Amino acid sequence: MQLDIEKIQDSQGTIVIIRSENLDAGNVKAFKDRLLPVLENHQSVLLDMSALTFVDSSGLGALLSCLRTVNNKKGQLKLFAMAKPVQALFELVRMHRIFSIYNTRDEALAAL
Amino acid sequence: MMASNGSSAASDIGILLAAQPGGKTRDPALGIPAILLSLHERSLLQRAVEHLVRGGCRQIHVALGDDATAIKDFLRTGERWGCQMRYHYLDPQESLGRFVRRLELDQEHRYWLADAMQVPLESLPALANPAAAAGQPLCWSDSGQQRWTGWGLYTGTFLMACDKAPADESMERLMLSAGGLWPHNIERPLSATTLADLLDGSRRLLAAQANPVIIGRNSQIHPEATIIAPVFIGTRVKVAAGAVIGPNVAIESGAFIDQNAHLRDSVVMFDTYVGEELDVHGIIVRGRLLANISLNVVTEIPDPTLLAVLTPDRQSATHRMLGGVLRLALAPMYGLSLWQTRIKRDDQPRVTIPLPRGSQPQPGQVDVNLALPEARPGNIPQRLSEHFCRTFYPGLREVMRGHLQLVGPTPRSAHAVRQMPPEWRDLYDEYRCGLFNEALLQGTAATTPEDQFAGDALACASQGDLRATLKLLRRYLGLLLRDLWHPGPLGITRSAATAPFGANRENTRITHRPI
Repeated sequence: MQLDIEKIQDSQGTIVIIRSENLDAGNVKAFKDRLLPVLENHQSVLLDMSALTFVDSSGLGALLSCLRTVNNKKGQLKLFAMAKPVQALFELVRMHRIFSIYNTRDEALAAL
Repeated sequence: MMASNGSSAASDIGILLAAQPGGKTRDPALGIPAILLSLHERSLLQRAVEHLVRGGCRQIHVALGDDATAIKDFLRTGERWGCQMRYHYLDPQESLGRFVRRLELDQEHRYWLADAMQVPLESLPALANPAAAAGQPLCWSDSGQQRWTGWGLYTGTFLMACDKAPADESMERLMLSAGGLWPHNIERPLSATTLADLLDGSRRLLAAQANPVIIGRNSQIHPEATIIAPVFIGTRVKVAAGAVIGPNVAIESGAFIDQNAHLRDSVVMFDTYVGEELDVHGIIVRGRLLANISLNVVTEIPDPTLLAVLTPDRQSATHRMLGGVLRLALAPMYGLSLWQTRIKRDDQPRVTIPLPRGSQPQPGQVDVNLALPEARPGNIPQRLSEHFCRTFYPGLREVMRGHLQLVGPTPRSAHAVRQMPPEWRDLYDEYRCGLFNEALLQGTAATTPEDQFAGDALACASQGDLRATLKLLRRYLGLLLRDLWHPGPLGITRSAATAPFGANRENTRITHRPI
């Protein structure tokens, strides 16, 4: 699971770019292993999901787990540039009400 | 047959365009051609055929394209609708005129032209404007602009002169502005051009239905589920506790909506599982495929806890054993039926099929014994006798006993008979055709309690419903026993299936009458 991490200037936040197309049972452990240290070290994390085209229930579970970690430390986790199929899944399972989702990177940065 | 002066109201031949390559694409996103997607348990293709049949068409020429196999599998011979299907392949670049010329139709007659991608919401209007020398296209108004529905009643001459392909954008302009045409306005038709159109069609069907909440046979709605009108729930649907259904929701047959799912403004296709707690809003779901109309995306959800295809219950060993025992128990009934037809039949075991003068040569007598006589393929008497002998309708024995007269080569509904020329109507008035299942045309919901046989037969044929099969067998057995007790056609006279023509239903009595 490849994740690129970019520091946001003048902020305690960071942008994590997911390079994989899938987030499913096959790579969800690697995703959590790589993302959790980032979540613990930063107050605000923006997840660039533009490359993701497929998320299954274990992927959704991993994202929820990350959100719980961030909420416990009163931080922020924002998702942006979500592909339409993934957005449709989020709406189907009502997760669009739980996560902060933005159309573009700029919108997500402005909301910090 | 049609008069050739252009003033006749109806045509007995329809041209159904079920292929429009290169133009309006039928969206295969949900796995099957859009015209075969079910809207309130009837696909657009089925609705198109029903409109044509009710409009008087006995023969329908179907233009096929990429989805030929699926469409032919669905329509088959057309016997289900009491009409005859003729299939033709439409070349993508072929003009409508050239295609119609291939059909070798009479130039002077009028023909219904029908587009399966757009189907009128209501039955076809009676078109009889003598000023319309070339034909009468059916149109609808889109914000003041007149649009062509793809349907109309045209002369053969006009159709043969059309030099545009059916998918050509200029076809609509031609159909609205050509000389001799007299457009007839109707409501906006149902359309399957896009999935958004399909969802909109479902909304309009819901708005048009007389009862705001329709729940089909054998459906189970949990008492703690909430239904908000307007809603259409098909047959064999299960809705679990806490689910909220509506408004503007159509759930097709065999679907299962699990606990606390919330459905609004959506269509759930047949045999689809919708998981717990899901929020289905502005969506068409078919199996694992989900079409979100607002996002304009179709995606597959592989997680079976969210969406899934429900396969019919596989019969357990106990179930299969029970079925075998049931068949054995019912076996004597078949023997009883055979005894009735073979032993008790009259001296004249043959049935004559009367036809109006001048329409077709008299096909002669038909031997309707269960052992069918050798006959040439396509022979009308053979096809008729096969149809009736292989169909488990009440009244079958009456044909074999010669009590029942079959009229014409095709069984027809009362409505279809009313649309027919007088010579045919007279024949139907004189000789009742009893072996007709009107529910096939009307749908189960439209049948009256009298049409119990027809409704059960429809359920057996369309759903393989064991309960309906048992009910049908029970009714049939009752009729047989009653007939044994009181020989004669009385029992069959009481059956709606033998008197499908409405007006004189109470007084209808089928008697043997040599022709």
